Amino acid sequence: MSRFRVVGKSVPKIDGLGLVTGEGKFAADYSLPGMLWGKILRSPVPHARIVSINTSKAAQLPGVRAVVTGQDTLKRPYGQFEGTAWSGADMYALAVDKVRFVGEEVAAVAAVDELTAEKALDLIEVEYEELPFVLGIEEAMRDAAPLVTRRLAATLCTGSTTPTGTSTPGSHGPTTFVRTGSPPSR
Amino acid sequence: MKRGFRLTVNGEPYEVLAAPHATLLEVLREDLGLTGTKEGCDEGTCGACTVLVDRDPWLACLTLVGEVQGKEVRTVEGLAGGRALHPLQESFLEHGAVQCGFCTPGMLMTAAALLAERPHPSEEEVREALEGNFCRCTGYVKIVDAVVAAGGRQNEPV
Repeated sequence: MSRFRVVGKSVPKIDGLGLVTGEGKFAADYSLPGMLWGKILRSPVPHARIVSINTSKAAQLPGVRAVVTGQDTLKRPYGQFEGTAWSGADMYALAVDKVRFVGEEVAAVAAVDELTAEKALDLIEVEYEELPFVLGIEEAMRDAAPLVTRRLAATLCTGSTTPTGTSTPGSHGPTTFVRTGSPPSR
Repeated sequence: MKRGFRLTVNGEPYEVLAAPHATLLEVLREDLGLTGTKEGCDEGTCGACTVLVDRDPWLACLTLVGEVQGKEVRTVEGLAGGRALHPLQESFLEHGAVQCGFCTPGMLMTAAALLAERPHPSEEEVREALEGNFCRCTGYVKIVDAVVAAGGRQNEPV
């Protein structure tokens, strides 16, 4: 007899019954009085300076309760490995001054219903000044590649040594190594 | 401008006021409070919103509410017969075919339509039937196993 009550045993999934009957609730399944619909306006271009954003028409649409842009946020970047040399903290809640990829969040609206929120997005006017962009890793690693984030001196922000090639039978490891890069300093 | 629609969902008659462009998915979730039917992609790609309309699997996100007037809609909330779970629901639980559970209602309804048509489907038939239902947890093997086993279960003498 096993000394464990749980380890090595099949245990019933405690929320399983709710999930197969449709009774289980996900966040989007809750409804509370006064809830609003949120919608995000996203960048249609891969890299651009945001020259201006005009939200006044959207804000005036009846049923719209809020329209916010990056200027309304703390403009504080966040991301992985914050506080280290490899910090990937280059994301913003909403784009600040420029967009770095298609789909980056540029503005957000809250409205009484989904359709109104969608109409409000259509009324937000954004003027972009398009910048050069890259579409792949090799392209991004070229010396003259356009920089996506100003914080780093090059698009290549970290490096590592990756073993490649094939092992000889009986050997204890890979036979060839390729050095792919190292972090540039600012 | 909203107008009235009469629907039958899980055997119950409903009258709702909705915009003519309202989808069946919106009406189920927002007007009838039947949130078991999930909104995944909202563009007919993921299958999470699958419901039965007169026994056929339909994507509720691509169905206008007016299209189901006079038809029988069945959602995951109506899959179990009273207190007894549907064999598919039992089988999903037994096979660990529910992970996060978001795709589960759509999987169950698509599989229910298959079993109604082919009570003892092969694994290949199950895979084919479920090809329009995405599981982002990627737990497909257990889901397919569960549907095949549910078909076997229906074979057993009652």
